[in-house]
Amino acid sequence: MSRKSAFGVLYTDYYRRVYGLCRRLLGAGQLAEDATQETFMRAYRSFHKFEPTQPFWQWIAAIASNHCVDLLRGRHRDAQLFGQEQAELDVADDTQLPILTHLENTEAADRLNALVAELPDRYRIPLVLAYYQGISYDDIASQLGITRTHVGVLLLRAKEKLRGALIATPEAGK
Amino acid sequence: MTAHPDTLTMSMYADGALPPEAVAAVEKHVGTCSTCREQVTLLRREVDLLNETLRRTAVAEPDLPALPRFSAPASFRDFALANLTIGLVFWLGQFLWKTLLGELAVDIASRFASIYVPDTYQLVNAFVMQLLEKGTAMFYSYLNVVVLGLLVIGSLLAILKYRKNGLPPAACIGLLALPLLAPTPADALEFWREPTGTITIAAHEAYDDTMILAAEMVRIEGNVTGDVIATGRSIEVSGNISGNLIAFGDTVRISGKVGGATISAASSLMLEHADGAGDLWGAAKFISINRDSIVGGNATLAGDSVMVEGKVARDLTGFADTIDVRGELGRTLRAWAGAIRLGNDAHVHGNVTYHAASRDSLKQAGSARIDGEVIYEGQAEDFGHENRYTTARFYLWQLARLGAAFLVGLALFWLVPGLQSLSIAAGMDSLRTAGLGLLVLIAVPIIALLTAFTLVGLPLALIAVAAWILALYLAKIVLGATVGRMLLADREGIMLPLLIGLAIVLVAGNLPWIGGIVGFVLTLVGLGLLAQYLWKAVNTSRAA
Ligand SMILES: [Zn+2]
Repeated sequence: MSRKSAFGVLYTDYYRRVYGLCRRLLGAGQLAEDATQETFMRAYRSFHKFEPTQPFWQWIAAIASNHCVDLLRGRHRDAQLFGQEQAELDVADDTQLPILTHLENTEAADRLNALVAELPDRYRIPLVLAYYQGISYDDIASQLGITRTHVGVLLLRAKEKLRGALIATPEAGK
Repeated sequence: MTAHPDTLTMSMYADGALPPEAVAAVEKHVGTCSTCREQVTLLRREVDLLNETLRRTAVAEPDLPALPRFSAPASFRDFALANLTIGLVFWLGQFLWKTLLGELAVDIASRFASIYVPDTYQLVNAFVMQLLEKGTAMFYSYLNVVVLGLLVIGSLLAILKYRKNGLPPAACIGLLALPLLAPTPADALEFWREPTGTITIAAHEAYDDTMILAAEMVRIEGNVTGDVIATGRSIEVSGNISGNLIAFGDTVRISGKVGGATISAASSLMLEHADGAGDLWGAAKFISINRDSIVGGNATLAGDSVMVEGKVARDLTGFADTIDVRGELGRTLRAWAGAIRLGNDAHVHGNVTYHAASRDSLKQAGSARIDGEVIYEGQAEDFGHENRYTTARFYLWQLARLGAAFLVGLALFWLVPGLQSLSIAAGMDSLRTAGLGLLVLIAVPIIALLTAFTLVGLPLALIAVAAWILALYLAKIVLGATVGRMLLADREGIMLPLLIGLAIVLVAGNLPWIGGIVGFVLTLVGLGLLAQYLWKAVNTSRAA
């Protein structure tokens, strides 16, 4: 099978998953379809570097998340996409908020999804990578170029934001 | 019992992300503290909930688009890029040689010819000759190496690329042959040099090449079927040149035939029984076109004194202290002069338009004929003071510029899609971008100039300057697209953002009073963006 047709099969099998990842990483209002196309384009160009022993999903997901982070970094108005570790640490913990352990119905789940999409980039990216993609803190840290503690505090703040937002707008998603 | 660990530690512990040395302490605490034990359970349940929720298909997922253009067209794009590069190198080579270097040489010569001093003349002559000799030879050998190298690299890449996809060999060869269809860089060149002697092309001799002749005295009595570039104290052309003639010296005397244009700078330029088919461009202290001479095209002449007794088939444009016309002008006479005299035999078929100190500066003999009108346009200084914003031509021209920039932009973003991801970051970053642009703007010509002085680097310098000019043009296009995308962030595609961004950049650069400085700053930012992109591209390819 030639490279093109082999790649065509992979494209058909993985398009939706890659799109889903890009959509979640880029959040609201970004061009997830373009990012997906670009991901496959990059994958196609470096297909010769792909080791067949490795899962394809892992390989292409890494390309997709790298590209999306690059996109967000480039479009970001601040010099640093992920801010300063110390500044995040200085934010007081909101221990009053209950930890989310269950959602009443599917509407609540949809609302939570929408809230994730609207999180600031610096919270959403590690959240999606850690809890959707299941990547370890160390891998996220090296991919984003920040420390492990920085990843930890961004994830903590992300969860706190979601807890607060879900309580503040219980019916807003409707 | 120790104090409860802080929320960050608890969160990282629940995710199994604490460093090993910190885990033990937390574990010990959690073992004895039921509050924290419950906390860990809740945190882990939250992570599971988040994972489950994120996996839900809450976003509408699109239908699978057809296997997109990235496969074959990606390499077609590379191929187009390679072809374009080769074409550009050819074109730049020809453009630089024919325009920049030619004009530069003419300019230098005319400047020194007008303030003629023997020593200076020697110096200039020597410099020009060296420039021509070394520059030409090196430029062409360099060009050949570059072009050949590109062809070889392109061929190899194409073969590797297309063979893998199972393209038949015949198609490969066909594709490879395409770049070869580009025009050859130059005709054969003859370079003759005789610094202190005479070069003569005798009446019975004939040459097929483009000739560069440099000597104390140059005489062309025979036939040359190419272009002639001649420099020397005295240049005499009495034979036939079927191409263009570029001549600079102290005295240039043309009494033969020139098939193309004549460009000359001298202390005195004389056409005696000359027959030039093309245009005449002359700069000299004293210019005369005598009674039996014909200029087949337009004549554009600048000097102290211009005397036209022969015939100019089209327009005569003169910049001089005195312009004397005693012959026939096929179309119009345009003059910027202290005094214009139309002698008894003068016959102007079109209008006479002149800029001079007063209306009386035009003196017309009794039997001189002007078929068109006589138009006095005031003092030369008044020229160009009309308000450009009130003319329709200005807006048409801006529209044409917008259209051209749009087309170039589309081609650019198709060829180099990565440029689309550029953005102007706020604050320090945009300052840095502009600073980078300023550096490129200033550094490239300076480095090019320094390189050019060594002569060994002359071809490199010329190519650098050409790339720099190209970058200046592309800078505003890239900036326009970036600005457009910032404004229309939700839009798919590049067309609309590009058009709108370009329009904004164009309008901003044409604002009254501040347009110049605004255009300058915009160019800086655009150059900075381009430089950033190139820098990133080089770094990425090195890292890969
Ligand atoms: Zn405790």
